[in-house]
Amino acid sequence: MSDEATKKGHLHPLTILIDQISGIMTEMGFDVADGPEIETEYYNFDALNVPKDHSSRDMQDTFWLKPRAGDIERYLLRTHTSPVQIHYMKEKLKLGILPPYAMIAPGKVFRNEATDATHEAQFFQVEGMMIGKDITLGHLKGVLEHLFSKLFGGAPVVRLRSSFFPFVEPGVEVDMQCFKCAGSGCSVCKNSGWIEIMGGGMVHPKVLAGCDLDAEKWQGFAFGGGIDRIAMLKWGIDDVRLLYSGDLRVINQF
Amino acid sequence: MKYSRNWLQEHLTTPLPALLTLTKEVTLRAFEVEEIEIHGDDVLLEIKVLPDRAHDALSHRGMAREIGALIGVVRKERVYDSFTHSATVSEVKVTVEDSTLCPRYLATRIDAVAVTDSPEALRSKIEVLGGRSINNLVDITNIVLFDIGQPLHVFDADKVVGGITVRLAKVGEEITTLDNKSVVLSGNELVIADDEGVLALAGVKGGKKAEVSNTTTSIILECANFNSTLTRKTSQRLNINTDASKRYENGITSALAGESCVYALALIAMYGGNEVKIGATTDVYPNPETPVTVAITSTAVNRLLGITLIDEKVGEVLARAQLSFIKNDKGEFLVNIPEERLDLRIKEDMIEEIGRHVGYENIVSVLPKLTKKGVPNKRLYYANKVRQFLAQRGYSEVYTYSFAKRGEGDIEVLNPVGKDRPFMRNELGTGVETALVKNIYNASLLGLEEVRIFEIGNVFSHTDEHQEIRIGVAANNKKKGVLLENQMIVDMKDLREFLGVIENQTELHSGDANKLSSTLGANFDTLVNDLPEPTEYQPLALENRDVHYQTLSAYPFIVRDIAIFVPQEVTEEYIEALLKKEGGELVVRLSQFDKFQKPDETRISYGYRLVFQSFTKTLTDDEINGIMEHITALCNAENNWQVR
Repeated sequence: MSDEATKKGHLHPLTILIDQISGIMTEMGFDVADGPEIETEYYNFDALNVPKDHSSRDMQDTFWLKPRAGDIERYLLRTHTSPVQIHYMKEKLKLGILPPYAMIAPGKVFRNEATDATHEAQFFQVEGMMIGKDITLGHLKGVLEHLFSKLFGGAPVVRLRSSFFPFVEPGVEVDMQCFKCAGSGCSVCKNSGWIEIMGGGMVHPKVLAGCDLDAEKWQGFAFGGGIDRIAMLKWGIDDVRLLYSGDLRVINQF
Repeated sequence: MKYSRNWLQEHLTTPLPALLTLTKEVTLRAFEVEEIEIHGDDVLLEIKVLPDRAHDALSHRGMAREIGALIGVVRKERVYDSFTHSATVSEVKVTVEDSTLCPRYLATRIDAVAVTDSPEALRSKIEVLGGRSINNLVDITNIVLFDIGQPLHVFDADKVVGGITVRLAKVGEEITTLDNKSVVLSGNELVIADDEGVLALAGVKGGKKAEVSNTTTSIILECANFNSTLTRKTSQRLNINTDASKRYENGITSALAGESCVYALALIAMYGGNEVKIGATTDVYPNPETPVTVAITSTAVNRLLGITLIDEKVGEVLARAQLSFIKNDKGEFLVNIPEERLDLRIKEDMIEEIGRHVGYENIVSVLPKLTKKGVPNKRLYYANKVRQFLAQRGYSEVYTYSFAKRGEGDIEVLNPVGKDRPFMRNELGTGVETALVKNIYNASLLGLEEVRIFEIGNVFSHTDEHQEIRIGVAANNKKKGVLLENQMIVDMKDLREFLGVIENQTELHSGDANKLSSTLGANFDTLVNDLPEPTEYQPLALENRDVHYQTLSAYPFIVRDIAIFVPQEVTEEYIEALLKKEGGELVVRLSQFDKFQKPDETRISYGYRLVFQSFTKTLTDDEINGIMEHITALCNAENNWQVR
């Protein structure tokens, strides 16, 4: 680092990633949406088909707010960026705009977990959603392959693995072929050749119906993944907490 | 759950494939295989089953059926040994007060049992999964649990007074659980009771009252189905998690209780003692489960997955997945859902089932055709403009925590991450100030004399959540601090002009009394409120794309200054190269802080600052003094140099 380089300010690595993702995705036709960090239980769970007694609603996973006088709902710190899907669809429909919809939503989320080098109580996610008449799981694969190739370079293959999230059906884990070793195995991918990078699937008909979209007519994909994790993988940042320490020893390297 | 490969094999007619193929298929198409342990001729697989498959796959049979379907190995139905019911054993009287909380309850009394150590056949099954064999009866219930996923319970029949009632607890009622915990009940728990009191927390944990001991001679075997939500709430409230509660709370079919009863009684007939007499089974099952069918078409499958399967292929996939179906005249496949597969209820569930079996790798990637470019939201669009403006002015961007101390926030978190930070920040000043202090402390290491930072982030008040922009400056002395603060005020004013903001909103100030650091902020949402909506995304113009991140040292740094007179013809590069070389690897930063020439002196005086830090240890002053003496000696040895 030369002294010259420190005269100009440096942008945060998460800003840089969010910018790159936003650039790639808007180029493809996705809007960049935004949503509140304090959510209602409805937007964070109910509207996303998370069962009433699902373990993710537990105190050990979710930060709940202390009830305030006049609250008619339970409030919480959003545990994922998925509620932005609901806000986005509802707002569009309120304006009388029917699909196709294509949007991403980067933003801060919160999880009640013990913090260590790879876990933080706050971190960033990016949500993606596309709704239309004929949007398929093949489109999810195509869009993510495009995103990852622009973000990491090369032509990383995307692998979908069967998984489960209440707001998608089918639900998949998204693995990306390791950008460092191209699948031959290295320290970044723990010798597996693959990096688990996102979750996704086809938006559950109940989620669409909850937004007053006819699930027989409209369908689409959704995905979500941690941006901090991408930053750590991409640049080899060894402790997620460094991203929130306000430490220029880290930031000035970017 | 841990699965034994040999145990899985018991449920299949042909051998499982090699471990590599097995784990790959399971991982891609069904569940994550988290760990593999080889134990002699057996292999233990730790497989993570998600809630949607906890109904069927948290058992060896369920997992074997899944694996069989995935890789085309035909399943084997277990045949239970026959046994006879003895008419001399009394029937158990069972009352279920609310069948929505307990859809099914089977109870069987067994007399003349002998509670003994388990024979090898039972013990080995428990031990292979890493468990500890207790006695023949307990081991039998656990074997049924791990084999077909149905929890069972055994009571000492002589300690049960009267009949068995499944009811909600009475307020204040007590139970001592098998692990000697005394629990006072609130009235919201489902319990198994006799005419005297509580015998067990239904689906969660047994009680001491009717515990089976070595002297037990008569037992009551319970095979039941309990409501998932209630089991979960009870288990959560009392903080008791068991293999049983885990299965009930995710929901299991009540059909399983009947089969598990037959299986357990067959095992008891064989291993429960030579004289064992099995009574008639009472089965309270007012609303037996009805068969479920789900209709799908190949068109619907193709439409959602983006593949092209013909009807014939869909039929093949269903057959291989061992799902029976009929095809109706509308071309629909009416799939008969196996009773344990509570996850298959709608068309999309079946499409996933087919997708998994076909293999997602056979789905071709397609880029959607979107006619126009996407548009960013206003916040992001203008935040990026602000970021670039501030970076040009020397401000670096920080992200700090949203959590705040009491007094620094309005919104309180019920279950905060740290007791010291139970609130949500209502401004960014505190976070930015903390970062300023930290960074000014590291100024030498950073090669900075002053620190300029900013943050853009959400803050929370009783009335709203909005985005704030906060810029901050810090210096090592008051004089510079005042200068910096004034510059910061100008920067903020220029920022508003740059954005084209006319409105002059209230600004937020903070700073320390000695003027070493100060911050200035504004409500970002208000700031950009009247600005035009963005029409396209404008990427940040980043110069430093090629980042090679270096891990930070965990050890403190030491600073040393050196001032040297050198002849005019000596270049700065030469001096710096010499200092770096002689300072060695411990010099993490070298910066010039001074350069002057006195009128009466031909030589130039340079001031350099060296920052030393190790990645492996805390450096001592002695160590660094040694290096500095060495450097001083070398400099003085150069022609006409003089260290001052």
